[in-house]
Amino acid sequence: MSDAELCYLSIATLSGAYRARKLSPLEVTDAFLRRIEALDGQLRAYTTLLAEQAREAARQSEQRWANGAALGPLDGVPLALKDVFDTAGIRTTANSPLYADRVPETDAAVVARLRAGGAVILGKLAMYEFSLGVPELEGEFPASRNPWNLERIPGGSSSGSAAAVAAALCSGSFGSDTGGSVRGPASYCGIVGMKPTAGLVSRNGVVPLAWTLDQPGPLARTVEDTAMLLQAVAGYDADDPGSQQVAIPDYASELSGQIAGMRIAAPANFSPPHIALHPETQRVFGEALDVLRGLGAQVIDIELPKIVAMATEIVLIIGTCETFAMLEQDVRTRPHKLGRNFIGVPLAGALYTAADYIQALRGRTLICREMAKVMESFDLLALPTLSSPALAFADEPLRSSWRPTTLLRRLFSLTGQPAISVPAGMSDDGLPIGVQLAGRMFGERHLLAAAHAFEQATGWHRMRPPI
Amino acid sequence: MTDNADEIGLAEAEVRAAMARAGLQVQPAQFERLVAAHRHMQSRLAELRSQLDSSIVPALVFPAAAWRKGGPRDE
Repeated sequence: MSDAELCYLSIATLSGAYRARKLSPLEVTDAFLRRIEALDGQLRAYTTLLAEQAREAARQSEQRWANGAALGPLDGVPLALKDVFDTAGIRTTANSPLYADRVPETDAAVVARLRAGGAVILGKLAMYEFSLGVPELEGEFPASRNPWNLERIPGGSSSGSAAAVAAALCSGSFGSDTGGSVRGPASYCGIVGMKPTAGLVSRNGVVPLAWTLDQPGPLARTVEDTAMLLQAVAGYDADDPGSQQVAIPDYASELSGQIAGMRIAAPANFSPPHIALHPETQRVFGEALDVLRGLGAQVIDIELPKIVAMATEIVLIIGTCETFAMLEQDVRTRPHKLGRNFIGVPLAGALYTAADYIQALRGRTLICREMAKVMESFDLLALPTLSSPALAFADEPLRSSWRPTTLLRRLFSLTGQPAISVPAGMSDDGLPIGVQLAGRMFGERHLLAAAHAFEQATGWHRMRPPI
Repeated sequence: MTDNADEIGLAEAEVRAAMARAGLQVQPAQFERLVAAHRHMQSRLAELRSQLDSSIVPALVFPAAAWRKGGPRDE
């Protein structure tokens, strides 16, 4: 089997092959390291490569599988992490010059759980500065590129997390999603990306952007792999004040593929004229709804309450105020340590009054209440993940972060609902386009089942980028 | 947004005051972007306030709390 064939195996397949002793974690890890060496010079997905640590972890995993003492289905599976997850003794930079030399003493909760499950950590992945900068091709932290077209952005902020998975430079990864930073890159790179329900996955040890909006989430090439990654990290953590005590189902074993009878709302609020969609995104989204209907789901057009349209601005107010609160001293005393395209975020937070922030939090309450009423009648919502296929670097309009299309992803950051982006088609010039499904609070089981059924019916997850 | 000179002047003054209050200095290009953002967001905040009125709506920090009582759950 070639390196590419090995590296494109799903996590589920790898795990089964380890169990059957047909593959060894060390040979798979070495294949990934060779592939990273060959391709990452172009892709720039990795900020820090942990080759020796990964090989040592793979050797230990190999022993466990040989002794019948594997720690779980992720034992020996090569994964990578957005450089926002603290890793003990390994620098964690958030891709900011401010944190260029920051070396945490302990692992983030997500990292600790992955290590406890035997996962092999290949390295730390590129991202937008503090999860909300602007991709820059030069400098200390050059932006990752999209493996489908190196001149296009992979999306952000979990850019390396998506690019590395799409190009098979790791089996799966973790990113963080404050306003769509897992789902957006997943859509641009043709993979699966999930923002779990707020409180399901611990944020302890994740460099914050906005304390009340950040959520860690998995990225993978299949829905089943996404479910396996989520399984490994979901669960209560007393060290995260937002963590919730809920029962954790066996996500991967409940991917029945059956969604007949599910009620799926397609809100008009996320279509023209309310939101400008690229014609090919609109086409792919229409085709995706047809697939869901073909699987027996009831797809129903609805109009969400008016206040939902405020979600973009509410996220911006809450997010920038919390970022300013976090970085206030640094913005004041060491502004040169923050990227020129990022510093505008905390500066914007300084413009709001306490009353503005409180009104935004009240608006969040109202939107949650309205969405709770909507979700009494529907199992899922369906909408595009992004308004267009991947943009060229020069066209990235992040500086206008209040643009209405960001509503597509920010609504669920605000309400805390789980949402997943699944590959749903291709543009005429060969760029992937995703569709987004959102569920009820802690409804990951239904969400993953629907995403899996869609994936199996379409086969878009089998696409591979030309790199 | 209109290009009304009075509105722009007011926004510029408000941004200068906010930066001074926070002890922050900004570059000219950054200042222009902040003024544009401030004008947009102030008009959207006015819209938000009109929808919130004076009813008792608590400020929500973690969203799961809003869904716990009476909100739908998967199971």
